[in-house]
Amino acid sequence: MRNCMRADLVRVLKKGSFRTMLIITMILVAATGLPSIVGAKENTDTYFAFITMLNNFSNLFIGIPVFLAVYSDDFKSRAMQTVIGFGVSRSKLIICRLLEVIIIVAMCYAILSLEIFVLKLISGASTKVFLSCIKELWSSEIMMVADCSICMIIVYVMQNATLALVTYILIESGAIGVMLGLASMIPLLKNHNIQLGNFLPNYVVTKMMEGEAFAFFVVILGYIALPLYVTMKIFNSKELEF
Amino acid sequence: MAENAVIELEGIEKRYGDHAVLKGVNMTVNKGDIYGLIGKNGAGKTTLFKVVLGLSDFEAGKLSILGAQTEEQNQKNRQKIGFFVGSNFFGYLNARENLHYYRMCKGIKDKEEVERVLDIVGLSEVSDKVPAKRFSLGMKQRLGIANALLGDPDILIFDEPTNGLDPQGIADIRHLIQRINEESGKTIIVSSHILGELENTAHRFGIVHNGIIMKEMTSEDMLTNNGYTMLEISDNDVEKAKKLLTDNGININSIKQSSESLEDFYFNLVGGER
Repeated sequence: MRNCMRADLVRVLKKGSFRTMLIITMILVAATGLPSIVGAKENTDTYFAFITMLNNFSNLFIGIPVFLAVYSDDFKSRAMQTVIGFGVSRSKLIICRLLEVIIIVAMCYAILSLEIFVLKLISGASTKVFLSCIKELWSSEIMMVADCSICMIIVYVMQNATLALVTYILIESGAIGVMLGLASMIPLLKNHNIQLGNFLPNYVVTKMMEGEAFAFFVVILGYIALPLYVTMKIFNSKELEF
Repeated sequence: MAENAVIELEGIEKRYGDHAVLKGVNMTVNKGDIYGLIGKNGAGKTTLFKVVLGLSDFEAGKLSILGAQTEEQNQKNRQKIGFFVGSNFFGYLNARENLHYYRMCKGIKDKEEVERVLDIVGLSEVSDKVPAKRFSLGMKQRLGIANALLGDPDILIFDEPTNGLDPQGIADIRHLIQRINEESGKTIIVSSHILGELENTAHRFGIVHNGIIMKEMTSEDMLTNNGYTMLEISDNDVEKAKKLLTDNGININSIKQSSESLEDFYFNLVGGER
């Protein structure tokens, strides 16, 4: 499993389009971050605008290339079938790919954290503002991994990385949140004050970052471990296409 | 399990819903053989390979790879199989990068292994600046075979390796398969729906039709089919040849005249090695 993961990490980091998207994200962060946090001692409106940008755009600008590089390329090239044919177990392969997502996203966010630190030094923003930015950034990483984990079910069960990518984009862009918000207006749900949007990872991760221990377990068990288990269970008996 | 068998299938059945794709397949591949799996498109060749490679379940029957008695043992022994079942490369990586990817996946530490297999398939001179997506079909097939050879596996499986190739490409791949078998004694299973393609390559044949192996036979069986030997005589004077044979006490069962095959005609016209 370690061999497969190492090989795949090297491959992803060699992918030109992935590196390009990472550079574009860094430029966007620099372009919007610098004017937003210049001399900021406390959280300001411009700072909050920057945080929103970090949450929304970095998840899309990093999440999409990561999803494409790890899952779509794996299917498109039929590398997954080949590796399984070599004798690697399907369950191990699924775990391996999710670990790769975690590692690659963490690497990207480490680079962005460094960039924000440089921005802090240049702009003279306070350490409080800097730490607040970093906290927001890493909570996005957890959200992204949870979202990828949910979409992974579609990747392997339906063997359709494109459909999974579309679902990922819909979750990250907030479209599914809006849809669930509308669905919550159904009288039965409304009467019981059930907000379906609260079941999405971004809501629970926000609660987790606010220090709610229960949310932590929901994120780890509900959004990462459960999709992993469901995917492995179903995928183990799936027919693989060449 | 037969003494010399490396892959043995007994009564393998596979269904897609109501449609039976494999209907009790029995097949034995012996060590060192080039086994030609012949059948038209949709006969069940690829499904058979998928079952052997563990990419597809089967409902009934028994599969044994390198003497394995359980599916766990089969799974372990699959590491000794190299296979090519169609293009399986990352288009943005070059040939070396692609092979290094699979080398690492297989846990092969020696980086020179990639050069060794590239050399065997004749791709060692290809520039690293060319990504795999720019390769010709023939180069892709060669790269696929190189990938199968990584780690020096005991068994090689090639699913229609000459699909879509020009006559020269077909001949090159045919020679490559023969060379690999002769030089390393590897067991090779190769499928095709073109009969002539395997005729001069394989030692044993399995004819798949509608999900069953209708017949297994050796190349000698083919040559001495029904107890007589088929001779091919290249001469325009049929009567002279007939007289020569009968004068020497050879019984002639039948005489069949045929002209030059299209493949022969092509190679005579443009040159190249068959």
